Amino acid sequence: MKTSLKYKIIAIISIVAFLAIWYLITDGLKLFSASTFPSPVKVLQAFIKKFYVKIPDGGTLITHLIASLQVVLYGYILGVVIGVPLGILMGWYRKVDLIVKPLFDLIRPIPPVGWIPIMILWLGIGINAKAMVIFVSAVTPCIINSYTGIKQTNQVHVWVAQTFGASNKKTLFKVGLPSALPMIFIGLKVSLGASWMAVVAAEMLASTKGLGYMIQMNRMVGRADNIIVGMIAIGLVGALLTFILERLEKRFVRGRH
Amino acid sequence: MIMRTRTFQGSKTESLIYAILSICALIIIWAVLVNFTAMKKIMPNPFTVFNMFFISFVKSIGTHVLPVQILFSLKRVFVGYLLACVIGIPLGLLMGCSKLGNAIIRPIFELIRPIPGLAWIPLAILWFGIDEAPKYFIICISASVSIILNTYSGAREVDDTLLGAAKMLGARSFKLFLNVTLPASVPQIFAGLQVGLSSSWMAVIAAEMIRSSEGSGWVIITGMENGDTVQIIVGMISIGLVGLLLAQMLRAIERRLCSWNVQGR
Amino acid sequence: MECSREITNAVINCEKVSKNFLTQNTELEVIKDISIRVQKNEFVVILGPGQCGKTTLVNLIAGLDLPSKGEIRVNGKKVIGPDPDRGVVYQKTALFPWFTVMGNVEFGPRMRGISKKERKEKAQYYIDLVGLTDFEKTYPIKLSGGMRQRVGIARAYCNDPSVMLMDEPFGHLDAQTRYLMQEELERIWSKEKRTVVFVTNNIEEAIYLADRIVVLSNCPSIIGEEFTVDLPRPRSYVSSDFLALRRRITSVMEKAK
Repeated sequence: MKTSLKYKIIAIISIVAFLAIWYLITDGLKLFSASTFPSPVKVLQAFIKKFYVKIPDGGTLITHLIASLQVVLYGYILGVVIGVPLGILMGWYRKVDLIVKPLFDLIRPIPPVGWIPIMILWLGIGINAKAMVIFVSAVTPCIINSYTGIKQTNQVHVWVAQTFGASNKKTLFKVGLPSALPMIFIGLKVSLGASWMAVVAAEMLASTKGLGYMIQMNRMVGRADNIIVGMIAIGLVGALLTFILERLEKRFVRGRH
Repeated sequence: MIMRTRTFQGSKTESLIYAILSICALIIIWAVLVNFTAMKKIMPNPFTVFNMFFISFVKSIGTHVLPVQILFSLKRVFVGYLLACVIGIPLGLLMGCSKLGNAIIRPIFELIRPIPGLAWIPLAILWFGIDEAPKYFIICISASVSIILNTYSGAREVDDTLLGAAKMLGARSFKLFLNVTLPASVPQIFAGLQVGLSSSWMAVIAAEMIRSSEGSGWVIITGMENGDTVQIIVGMISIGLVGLLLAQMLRAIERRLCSWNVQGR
Repeated sequence: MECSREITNAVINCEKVSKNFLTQNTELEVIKDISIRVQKNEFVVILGPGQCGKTTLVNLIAGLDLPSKGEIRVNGKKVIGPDPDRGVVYQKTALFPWFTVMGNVEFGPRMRGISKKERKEKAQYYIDLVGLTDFEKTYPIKLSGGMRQRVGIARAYCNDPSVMLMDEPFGHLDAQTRYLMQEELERIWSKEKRTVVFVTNNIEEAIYLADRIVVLSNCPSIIGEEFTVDLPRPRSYVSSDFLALRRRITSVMEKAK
């Protein structure tokens, strides 16, 4: 189709123009000093160098990346393992809902980054404090989305199951869970995004490694090129994680969308 | 077929009673743990916390009382969020309505979007210094993403039948946009505004924790630096309350503007 | 059997109209070689089984879509796009939810720049005509299905079209409301006669309302048979003439399957 090709070309031109303008105002016209606003070329060089150079932040891109991923995985898995079942139980059993929901609604408005100071005070500067902050940021969307997913269970399906003699618990497993699966996956995706964001903030405040620490450190020494490298790395990894989750979603939630 | 969802039959008073009981139970457990176990070393008494919370309305934390600290944060949110709306909504509408606009803007947006707003903090400080400007920038970026995204999808998903009906009645280009596309997008725009608002609140707290001399984020980070758990918890409570209030206010505005909407939120 | 009519007198003139739709890799022929002429102030009903192109035909006459072959002329002018001259009442009401009843009905004149006083008067007349006085300030969400369709009719009328196209407007109403609306439409149309093309799959509805019934066959739709309905108005659903015609048409439609 001619028109869609035309728009694809415009899109590519747009990105090229973006990079070109970036290059122009930095290296071309030298409107900014290289330490505040480096050109795309410098960023690319720094990106490649960062794979094996440790200064000035004490680690290569890979070591920082792995450190961040470790923390995220730790907190995220904990959040999912606690959050999803909790949300399901709250959605299915009225008693659980009545007791837990008010407490959850109390804690929920506090943004995950707000938990950083108290976690640091309790657990010190280390992986545990950060992982707890990640946990908080992951558990909330998991609970909310699993809860909503269960609440959306079609009552008619439940009645059908009951006429077949299924117990409440069995109905949960055979009817509630499968139909809630799409929303649970949305919760998993949102949690991952939130976790990834939270780790960046946590590492800026309380860490000696990790991508968040890396960009913070490089600011202190005025290495804007490394900062941008870090930001790009954060963006890429975040996008990759979301992509992986979407692949899993397609595999497990087939035939629904 | 009407989809009957699994809603519970029950009175609102029942929920309220359980809620109160739950919260009281929590506070009692908290008090017990603090008084009779080793937790007293790391956790303050709930009553100390509540006491401190109300005292800080008149007694300064640092150089300002608690409400003033909150106002600092709110001011920053106000500026950054407003900026995000002013930039984001038109941008989203442009992307949603014009194929050309979409082709030009969307690729750049998709490049910048994966980078979380908080990750811009070091660069913002480097560029704008340590005063208010970097905070406005961070808040604006954090809110913009969801505002643009939701506005875009709202403008794109306007029902074709409505557009056809409007054209049949004689509406063209700009009048079509003003009378159909725009009102139809409003519910979705509000969805973006809600998420944007909570992102803004999160961003300001983070920015204040990293580099600030006042504000709610500063309150809790200073509490950490001084080992003052009471201050931290008081700060956290105030942050949570204000976040809740902001969301409720936006929802009230939305109910006013979208009283015609089928899918009430 | 098709009676010959003066082509020049016809308000609507469809000449050998065909429409194909591209689906995946195949072309689906939905309408084939349809020629219809509608005289001024004639109430023509297009009757056919579901999913056979009735809506497509209406969309073509309205100008919301273009024919693959053939030509459609209204008032001598070729149809190339939607126009206020051809009012449409949709099956799923396309009322603007953010405008009140008055806002919806006066929409057409407002787009054409007619003065506020004049268009309010005009809109009020049609709101009264369809029996919705006192509902001017109500939003569509508060109206029942039947009421919404009335607003749709008033809105289409208010724009002074020479032709009204109605695509199964009562299809989504419950049986009771449907009978009521048929009588209402009969009353409204008798008071304000316009050229009407009305689409339905309900034989009773067709006989009750039409001056002439055009029966479409199955996909791809071609003209099956035409019936002139000569009964005096308003008609009775149970008069012997009505029932005789109904039997005839039913057998025709049975054979067409």
